[in-house]
Amino acid sequence: MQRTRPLPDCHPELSVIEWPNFREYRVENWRLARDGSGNVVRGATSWGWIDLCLPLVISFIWPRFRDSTVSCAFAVLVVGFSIYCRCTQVLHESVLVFPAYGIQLETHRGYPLLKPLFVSRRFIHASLLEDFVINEGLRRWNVRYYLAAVHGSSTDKIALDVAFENILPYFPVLLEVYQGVQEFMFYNHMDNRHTCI
Amino acid sequence: MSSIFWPCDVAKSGFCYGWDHPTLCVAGVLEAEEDSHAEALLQRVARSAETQALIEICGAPRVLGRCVLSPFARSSYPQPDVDMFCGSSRAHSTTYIYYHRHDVHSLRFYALDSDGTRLFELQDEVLRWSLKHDFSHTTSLRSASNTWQILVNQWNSAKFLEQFIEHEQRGQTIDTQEHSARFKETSNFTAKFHCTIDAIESSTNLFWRVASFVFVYSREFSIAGMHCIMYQDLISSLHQVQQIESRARKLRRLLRGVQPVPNGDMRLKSSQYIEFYNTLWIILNDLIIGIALRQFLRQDRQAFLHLFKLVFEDKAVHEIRQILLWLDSWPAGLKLNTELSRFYSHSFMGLIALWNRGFRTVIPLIPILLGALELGSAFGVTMALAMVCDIICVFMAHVQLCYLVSVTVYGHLLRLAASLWNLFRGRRHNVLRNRTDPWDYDVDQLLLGTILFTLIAYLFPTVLVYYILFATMRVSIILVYASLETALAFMNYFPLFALMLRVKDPRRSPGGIYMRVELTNGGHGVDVFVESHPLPFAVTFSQYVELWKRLAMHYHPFRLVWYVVSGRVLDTIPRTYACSTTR
Repeated sequence: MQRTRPLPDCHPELSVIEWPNFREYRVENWRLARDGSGNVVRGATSWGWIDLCLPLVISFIWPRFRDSTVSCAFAVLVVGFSIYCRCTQVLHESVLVFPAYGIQLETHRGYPLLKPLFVSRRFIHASLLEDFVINEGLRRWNVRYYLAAVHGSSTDKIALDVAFENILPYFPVLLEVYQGVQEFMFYNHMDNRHTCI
Repeated sequence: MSSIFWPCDVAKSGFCYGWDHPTLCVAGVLEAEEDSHAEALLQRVARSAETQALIEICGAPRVLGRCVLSPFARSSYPQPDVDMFCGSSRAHSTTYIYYHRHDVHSLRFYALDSDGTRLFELQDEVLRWSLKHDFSHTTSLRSASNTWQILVNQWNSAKFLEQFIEHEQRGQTIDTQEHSARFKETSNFTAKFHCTIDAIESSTNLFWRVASFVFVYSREFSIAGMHCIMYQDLISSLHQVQQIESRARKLRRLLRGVQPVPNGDMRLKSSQYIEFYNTLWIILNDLIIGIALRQFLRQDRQAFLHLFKLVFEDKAVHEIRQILLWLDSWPAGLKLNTELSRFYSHSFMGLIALWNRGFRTVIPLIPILLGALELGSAFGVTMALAMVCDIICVFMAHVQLCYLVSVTVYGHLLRLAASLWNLFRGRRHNVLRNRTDPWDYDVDQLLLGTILFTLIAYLFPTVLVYYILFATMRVSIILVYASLETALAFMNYFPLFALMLRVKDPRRSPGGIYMRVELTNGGHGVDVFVESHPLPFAVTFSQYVELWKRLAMHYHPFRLVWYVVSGRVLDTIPRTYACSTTR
């Protein structure tokens, strides 16, 4: 296992991890501030000011609404919802490249200081994968670049799956991942190695 | 460097065999002295009759190499040192991707995809063209698209192959007959399966026999019993008959049993199994809830009767009469045409009085009706719901009649107004070309048009007011119908078994594969496993989504409002429409 950061100056959140079977491009949910000051802007925080305000507010309104069950239920719902939001923040997203087999897009969610609680994975095998491209798209009021895996499906329709869907890193990161995946997946057959399936 | 697919429960040394196309996939490990023995065994297996189906979908298995399991295992999963006979000579550490070998009778399997589509498929054509003309696009490595399907078939059949090979190996020394008898397809699930069917078929319980007979042939009886063909449509539009038909279809499918499936097709076998038990569970749930409802009805029978008699006549008859009288006498200060209004209200009241007379003669029979409802609910809550639908239809017949009358008059008036509008603009509707053309009318035609226009202008508010009354009543009845039909669809099609299976054993309903990466104990290495996603909810509830779309399309509020405003007749979902969704 070998872990490198190909863009240490501007985008240290991208790391490339080499395993014997595959290669992982991992983007963590933080970035450096774009004004060059070197501050870290975190996407997934372990605590915020609202977490301190919430107990305060509840302690103020508790004596008034202690008797009514509806308000109790509402308060429990609010607390539960805030815990849920804190525990399903995106920790990191990765693209795993299995040469000759396919690529897998992963999203790891959880509480920032612990190991990931939920992982959602999507494996696209090599015979379905048509291409791995960088597209430009509109997101809210901005134009953003995103990485997309173009693949067919069982019903013979073509679909797009977006890599790093929640973090949406900036272009230099995308370029790095794009070149890596293209080299691994689409140039393999030029070397005289085991054929792709 | 490419990986070998290794079964994660194999941890012995010997000769490993499997498939080398499309990629190296080891099915198991043979313990033999020399490789020629192993080769001979594999060849005998490849020629035997039971494995022909397997070879068709996976390819012929062969001896791949020799493997030695090192005693110092760093991880809890096997990492043997393999020396392959075929392919290029390998350097030291080969990498492994582990997969689970599922027992043939456990009904677990891998599947490449679910049948539903995922995410968005945007502008399919545009994407295809852009891919085709993209000069920077490297030639894709899409080889024959079923290579992965072959690999998945290999994973699914690995255990069966191993069992067969071991059986063959032992069969060399012992008498083959008793072994072939043991190797027959006996298992927990399929045995239970056939047991249930046998139990149903050979059941000596008279009630079950009679009930199934009645259900299965009720449609033919109900049609044959009605001599008059005219009543056929009326009868078949009753919800009750529809419900009986749907139940009969389900039972018929159950009783027909299950066709035997060749060994390789795990998906078909599993889906048959799931469908069978799902239908069984739905019917049993239905019966249980129906019997509980029956108890409830039985206990409060007197209260229901009393409530019914008290409330119904008051609301359905006297209320309407009050409202009609109110409309007749300048409702809210609105001046209506006196003669027409009187004629309308008197004729509607006459209709309602007629119906009321009929209702009074039927009142003594209401306990019998309630008894019939109880009996129906003993057959399932869906029967009870269907009966309630039909009862509402019958008891609100007077509203339906009045509504039909008023909607006809209103519709005619509207159409007349539309054609008069054309007349005054100097246009005429051309039927041949289906458009309006300019036209010169004669003076007498214009005069007639003016007279008709004054008629309409003075009579329209009166007609409108009565139409609004009956249209609102009809809309509320339609909404009640909609909710009952939704409840009926909910009870009939809920995929409870599929959901429980998803919770209990997600590997039995797979919907795609993924690679799970796990750090080893030492933290330096990583193990990769092939796992299955469970079927997504959209696929499990796909019938629901379909049904819901049809219901929503028919009972959409905008559609209802448009029909009311334009004077078209509101109706329930016509039978042919609903028929295609009931399976």
